[in-house]
Amino acid sequence: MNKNIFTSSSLILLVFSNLVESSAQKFDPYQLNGGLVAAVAGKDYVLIASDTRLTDGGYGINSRRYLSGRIWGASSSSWEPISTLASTQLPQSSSPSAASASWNVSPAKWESDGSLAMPLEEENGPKRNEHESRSLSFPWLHFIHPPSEAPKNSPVFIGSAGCASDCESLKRRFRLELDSLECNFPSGLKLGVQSIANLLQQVLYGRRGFPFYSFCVVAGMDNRDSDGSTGAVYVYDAIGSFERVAVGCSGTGRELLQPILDRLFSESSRNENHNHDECDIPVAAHRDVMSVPAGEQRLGVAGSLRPPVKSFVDCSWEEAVTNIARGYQSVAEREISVGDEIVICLLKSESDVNNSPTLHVISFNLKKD
Amino acid sequence: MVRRNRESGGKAHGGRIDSHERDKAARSRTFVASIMSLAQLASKSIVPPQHTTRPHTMFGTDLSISDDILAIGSSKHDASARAIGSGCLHAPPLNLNPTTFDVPAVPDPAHFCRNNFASACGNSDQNQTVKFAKGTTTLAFKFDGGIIVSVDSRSTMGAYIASGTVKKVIEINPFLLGTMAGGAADCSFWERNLGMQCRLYELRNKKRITVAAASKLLANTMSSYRGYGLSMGTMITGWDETGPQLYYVDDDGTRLHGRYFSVGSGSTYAYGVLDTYYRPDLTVEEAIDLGKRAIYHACHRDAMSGSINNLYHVTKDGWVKIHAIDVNDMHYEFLEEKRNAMASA
Repeated sequence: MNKNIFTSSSLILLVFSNLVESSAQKFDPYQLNGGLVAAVAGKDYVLIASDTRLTDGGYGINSRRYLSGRIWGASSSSWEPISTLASTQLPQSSSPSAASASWNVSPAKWESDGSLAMPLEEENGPKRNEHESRSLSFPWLHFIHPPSEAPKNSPVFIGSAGCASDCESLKRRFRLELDSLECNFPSGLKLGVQSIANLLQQVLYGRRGFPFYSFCVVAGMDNRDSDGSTGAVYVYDAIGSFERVAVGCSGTGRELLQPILDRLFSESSRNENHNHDECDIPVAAHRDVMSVPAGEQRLGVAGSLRPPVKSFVDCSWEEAVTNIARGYQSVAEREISVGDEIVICLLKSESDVNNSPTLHVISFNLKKD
Repeated sequence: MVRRNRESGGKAHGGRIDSHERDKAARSRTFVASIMSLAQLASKSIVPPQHTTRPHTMFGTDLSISDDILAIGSSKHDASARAIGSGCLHAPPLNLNPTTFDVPAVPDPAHFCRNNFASACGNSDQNQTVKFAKGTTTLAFKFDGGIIVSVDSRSTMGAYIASGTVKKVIEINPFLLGTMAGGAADCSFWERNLGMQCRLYELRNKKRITVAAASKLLANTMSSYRGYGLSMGTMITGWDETGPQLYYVDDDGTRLHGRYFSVGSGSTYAYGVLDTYYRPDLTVEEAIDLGKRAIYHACHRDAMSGSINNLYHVTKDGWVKIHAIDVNDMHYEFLEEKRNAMASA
């Protein structure tokens, strides 16, 4: 009897340990939920874009209007959700390709967890983008006022794509870290975009042993320059290797989108660069335009250690929005996990309104199939 | 305590104590310890309790690293930091401590990390879910006029060129440079961490850290993470009171001192050029040209290297960045040179 108990319990133990082992072998925590985020840094603006399709890791589509884990604000305190909205007409685009668009203004909301609320579906807006790819319409445009007592620092956006749950927990973790940092400075510490970028590296690398499966882009206005603020964009890998770039994207389909954007943005700034006329292929990022002469590049000299490439594009924001939209349209044709809509957050520094930037949220329809 | 006993005993030489001394030392140590604890007990009521929380550091760069690193995967680490997913079991630790890492809930986290999240050289990570930015040619050599550090700037994720403009020379401080080969995040994170450690050394000791010590700090960090799939092949160079120094440190904890090194996927090509043309008595111009050429040949033959050649010169006044040249431009420059040489011959 005793022996029986012993053998049966040992058998159960054996089965159990086998179960544990096999489940450990199969431990596969990640799901690739798609998502493609992109950002462009301009001379006086920065924009960040994301598509809103959420796939189930395979061929299924879980949501067509998912945004909360894709684009979110790094800090919580400064930019309150707005209640009043101006029905401001934005200036018509200078480029003919993006002209003749009717600008609809409707409320946009900044969620309490830092994410941007998905713009509401417009009844009278076009349900489907029937235009040619060259004549883009701007169906919905939301205009967010800066707060009444304008903070000196503008919001910093983080775009993340990959495993949606990891993006979500990265968002919470990051904002918690940032809040705890800011709490230590009662006078109000506002981290600039570069500090945000460094903090994100630390948060991502903190999970080196078990990475957040999320590929990030940081976009914000860099106020350190003496000649006003310029846009700043940083691109990351999953464990926090990052780099400042002019145009960057990450997520599913970045292999498709990045070359398109490189091409579009080098075309739009090509008129000023006649050096590359003899060879028709534009060099992706006009290298060394902004870099300080090598002999002067010394650590400790403020601002002299610039990145080896130009860190912002020359074109106007209208052109940038058009380029991004065109790029996304092309990718949506060839990548199953990109589609439905894109939402673009455009942060523009306005020289007239207390130097505080304005935030515009623009959304386009992409292919819905 | 032990040291004081040795000094007062006067019989211990070269750190060795005979048995009698040792007994005495042990006795006095326990005695002193008990007095200490008494004193602490007594003082506790008078002195306000010490501030026990971790001092606030800007980005959580914690001062001591060894304890937390060794705790990974242990029960101590489990109790404190292993919060998987949403952090509903434990609140995630605030004030980031980058030296403790969350690890997956598997029996052997190190094994799991090594097999799933390594950023290995070559194509061995092609089945990995998560791919990291990597791939490189870097080189550095010592000569009579200082040290030349020359690197490419391409980073790849699988076959995709993740960036053509990576800064692979990391400026640790005005007299120290580190190069970056292997996993980009591993290198940039730990060399940034090394910069912090070097600065702390400077503040504590009122003098600059030597290259030997700095490289040892990094090697210690790396050996404490052995087997976790980190990937880092770096050269620490600089000028200290002993002159120009060059060390190679990698993720196994290897630390080598030498005249010239080349690291990365294109290093074999670079070594070919270096082995042929390296002399200690190169002039500065010749040395710069050699650094440039070695990188050019590596970029030409190695698909994982390319884009821009960044070149630094380390002198006794610190390092200077010499140039950042597109390797593609270099190709046509050398081609013309070759044509001219053939025409004149």
